[in-house]
Parts: sequence; structure tokens; C-alpha cells
Amino acid sequence: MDAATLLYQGLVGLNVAMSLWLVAAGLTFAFGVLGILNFAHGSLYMLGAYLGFTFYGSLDLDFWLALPLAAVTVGLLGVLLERFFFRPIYHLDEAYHLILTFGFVLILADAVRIGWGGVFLIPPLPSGLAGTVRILGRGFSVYNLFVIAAGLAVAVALWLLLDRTWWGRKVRATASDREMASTLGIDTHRLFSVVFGLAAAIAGLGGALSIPVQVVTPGVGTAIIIEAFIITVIGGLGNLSGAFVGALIVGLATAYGILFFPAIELFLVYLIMALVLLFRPQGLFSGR
Amino acid sequence: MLELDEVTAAYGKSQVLQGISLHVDEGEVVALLGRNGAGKTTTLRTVMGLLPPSGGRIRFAGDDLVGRPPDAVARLGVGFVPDDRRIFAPLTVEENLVLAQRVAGDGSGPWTLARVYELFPALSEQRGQGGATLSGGQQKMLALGRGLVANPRLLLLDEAVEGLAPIVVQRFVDVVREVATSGITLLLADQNLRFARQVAQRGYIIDKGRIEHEDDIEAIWRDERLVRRYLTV
Ligand SMILES: Nc1ncnc2c1ncn2[C@@H]1O[C@H](COP(=O)(O)OP(=O)(O)OP(=O)(O)O)[C@@H](O)[C@H]1O
Ligand SMILES: [Mg+2]
Repeated sequence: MDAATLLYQGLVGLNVAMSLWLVAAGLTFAFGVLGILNFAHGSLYMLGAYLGFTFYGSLDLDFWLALPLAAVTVGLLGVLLERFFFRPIYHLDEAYHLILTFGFVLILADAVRIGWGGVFLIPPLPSGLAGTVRILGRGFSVYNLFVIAAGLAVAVALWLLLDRTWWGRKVRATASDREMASTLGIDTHRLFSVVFGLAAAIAGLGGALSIPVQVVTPGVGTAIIIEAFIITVIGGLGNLSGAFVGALIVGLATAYGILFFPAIELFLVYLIMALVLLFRPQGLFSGR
Repeated sequence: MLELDEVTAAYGKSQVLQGISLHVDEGEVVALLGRNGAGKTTTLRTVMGLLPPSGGRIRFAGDDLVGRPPDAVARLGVGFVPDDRRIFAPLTVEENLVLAQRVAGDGSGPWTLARVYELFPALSEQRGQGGATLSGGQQKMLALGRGLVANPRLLLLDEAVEGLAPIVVQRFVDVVREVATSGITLLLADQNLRFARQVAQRGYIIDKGRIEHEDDIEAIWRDERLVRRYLTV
């Protein structure tokens, strides 16, 4: 196997990683700040995909409009979910968080079945992102390059937002000590709503991005949440850098797994998670 | 300025405040004195909105505080410096201060970062360092500084000098006096009568969730029976 093949497969892995990162980011962000492990986070990705399909595939809106529209719609739904369903149960045991959010997995899956019905066609790639470029002697889809760029852009934007702005410092202070933050005058309820909405919007964006390359089904929410969980377990629950690195690990393991051990490609990912749990149970990047 | 009227509060089923009535007038420094577990911290937390009272009334500068969340109480001009410091570990020393300043309701007033740094040069030297890297005493300084830069009208100060070396305690005495002079009204919760006597004018003695006595701080200090009964361990 030559170096070009190896490098090319790395690019494939990067593409997988960035799609997964867009789900894991919000999952771990919401957990790190609100303390809620949201099983329905993958369902928000799914909803973003359905909305993206409607806006771009059915209503024929411009792709560059459909994308943010889907993200914002899912974000607003996230705000409502947080406000009316999660807020009353923060103080309860994690078991209640799991039951409630799992309930929303079922509700959202049925909602899209009722709202959108059966299987869809894949809409055409947006013009400008269609076709392939030659990389390392092979064709690589321009759209997949775009997905990689989008994932990286979200990572940089989140980092700037949390590390460099006063809103971000407010979020980090509140995540570390909610009670103290509130006694300084921070409306932590509102902050939680916005954080959850942002997390949901990123998932919605990820879902909408998948529309030109993947058929969406009501089951996609549960499929992707499992991978996102694996990523956050590897990276450390609640840690954004951890989620990013975890996504890279899972994406690359998947891509190289297909290359070297096609029979056990999925097993490889679980094996990595098991090793992390065994030797560093708090994840590679511990803490929030 | 602050008035509590028959305030009761409970943690779950155990009632901790049995009906607290007290008042703090504008410009005063008042000490709430009592032993371990008497209910001092609980009283401050109830005022701040961290623990909803089960009964009674709390008024601050004409507003009813009962039922308001802590951030709303803070924006009315009440500051809270907890006994356990609660520095934001992910932020630097300076970020801890600036954040407090930025999220405060009005925030304008005599207390600036520069003034806090002037009073506590140790904080200035470590302004770029993580809040968790400070020593316990420096964290106490930062907690107080964080409470001050919001320029509250009333500051609730819980065990201001607990665990501090004597020389640092003296520094805190000077600072708290300066705070009072700057126009901030103070309610201290303290076990330390020696410290309270140096800064407060009036004191309440609290025991088992009840106010047992109220007097000038000097009168309390001189009343040996009172001190022995309610304040010494
Ligand atoms: N979170 C809590 N849950 C249950 N009981 C509590 C809690 N916090 C305090 N208590 C109880 O309430 C009573 C009053 O406690 P509080 O902290 O108000 O006392 P304090 O006067 O501040 O004491 P200290 O001088 O030790 O700070 C104590 O009996 C304490 O055990
Ligand atoms: Mg106390």
C-alpha cells in the first residue's frame, strides 16, 4: 500500500470525523454546562436533516439559505425543549434525564414519520459544491471537502466564542459554579436556554449538511447518537476539545479500519472505547 | 435598607431558621454572630434568594426579595461573598473580577479593579493566573474583590477572615472599614467576635435559628455571660 493511499484514506477519515464532530460537539457542550446528557441530541441532528431536505430538496430554497434555516429552526426547538422540559428536572437524578431525553428520541422519530412519511431521494449537490477534485491522484468529492471545512469552522468558532468572548467566560464560570454565577447577577436560566439552543443548532446544521449525500430515515438519530456517545466517552464527557479529538480518532479509525480490517471496522471503534474506559475512564481530556 | 421579618427556612424537612427578624440600616455595618451551625450562612443565603424562605418577609430598599432568583436580587444591588470563596477556577484572577463587574446590574461606583489591586497587591501580581492557583488567603481576597467591583449597595459577607493569618486579618479589617466608608452597607455573618468588633457597630446573636440578642457590638463584647453562652465554643 502506497503513501498516497494512506493519506487519501486519512482525508476520508477526516470527513467522517467532522460529520460526527458536529453531533458530539453539542452533546458534550450541553452536558458540560447544563449537566444534562441528552439522548435526543442525535434526534435533533435527524430533524435538521429532514428540515434541510424540506427547505433545500422540496421547497427548492437556495442551499446557503436552507442550511442556516434548518440550524436555526432546530436551535429554537432546542430552546423550547430546554425551557419547558429539561429545566424542571436539572436537580433530579441522571436517571430522570435519561428517561426524559430518551422519550424525546421516540417522540421525534414518530414526529418525522408523521410529518415526512417514507423514504426520500437525495437532492442534487448544490452547484459549486458538485463534482470532484483530484487529490493524491484520486478524485475526492468537493462536497465532502466542504463538510470538512464546515466542521473545522464550527470548531474554531466555538473555541473563539468560549475562550475569547465575555459571553464564553460567563458560560465557563456558570458551568463551573452555577450558584455563584447566579449570585453575581447572571441569569443562568436564560444562559442555559441559549447554550442548549446553540448545541441543538450545531446538530441541526450537521443534519442539514448530510442531506445531499445521505438518505435520512427516522432511525438516523439513534444511530448517530451512539457514535457521538463513543466519541465523548473517549474524549471526556463535557469537554469540547475532547469531543474534537475523539471525533478525529473515531473518524480515522473507521477509515483505516475499512482499509486494513474491513471485517471488523466497527469493532475497532468499540475496542478503542473499551481501552480508554479501562485505562483512562475519565476520558482523554478529563473534566469539563 | 434590609429588613427580615419572622423569616423561616428549611433544608428539606429540617427547619433551620425559626423566625429571624433583623434590620440593617443604610450605611451600617451589622454583624450576625453565632456558633457553628447557628444559621448565619443560611440567613444570608435566604436573603440572596439561594434558599427560598418557607415563611416571613424580606425587604430590601423598598423591594420584596422573597421569590426573586439570586440574579435578580444581585441586580437590585445585593452582593454576596461566600465563606468558601467559590472562585471560578476556569477563569483567571482578572477575569473573575471583570466578569463580576460586567454582569452586575449597574456596576458603577467607587470600586474598580485598580482599587482592589491597590488594596490586595497579591491579586495584581497574579492577575493573569488561574483562579484556582491562588492560596486560600488570596482566594478570600479575590472573593471579596469580586463582591466589591460590582459596587453593591448591600454586601453580605460570610466569615470574612476565617482561616486567615493574623496579619492578613488586620488587612481585611482595614479593607472592610474602607468598604463601609465608601458607602456600602454591610451584613457580616461571623463566629469571630474579635474581628466583628473591629468593623461593626451593631450585632445580633443567633442561636439554633433564632435571634437571641441585639445590641451595640461593644455592649455584646463586654457582656461576658452572653459571650460565654452563645459565642465561645
Ligand atoms: N445544605 C444543607 N442541608 C441540610 N442541612 C444544612 C445544610 N446547610 C446547613 N445545614 C444545617 O443548617 C444549620 C445551620 O447551618 P448554617 O450553615 O446556616 O450555620 P452557620 O451559622 O453558618 O455555621 P458556621 O459557623 O459553621 O458557618 C446547621 O445545623 C447545618 O447542619
Ligand atoms: Mg456559615
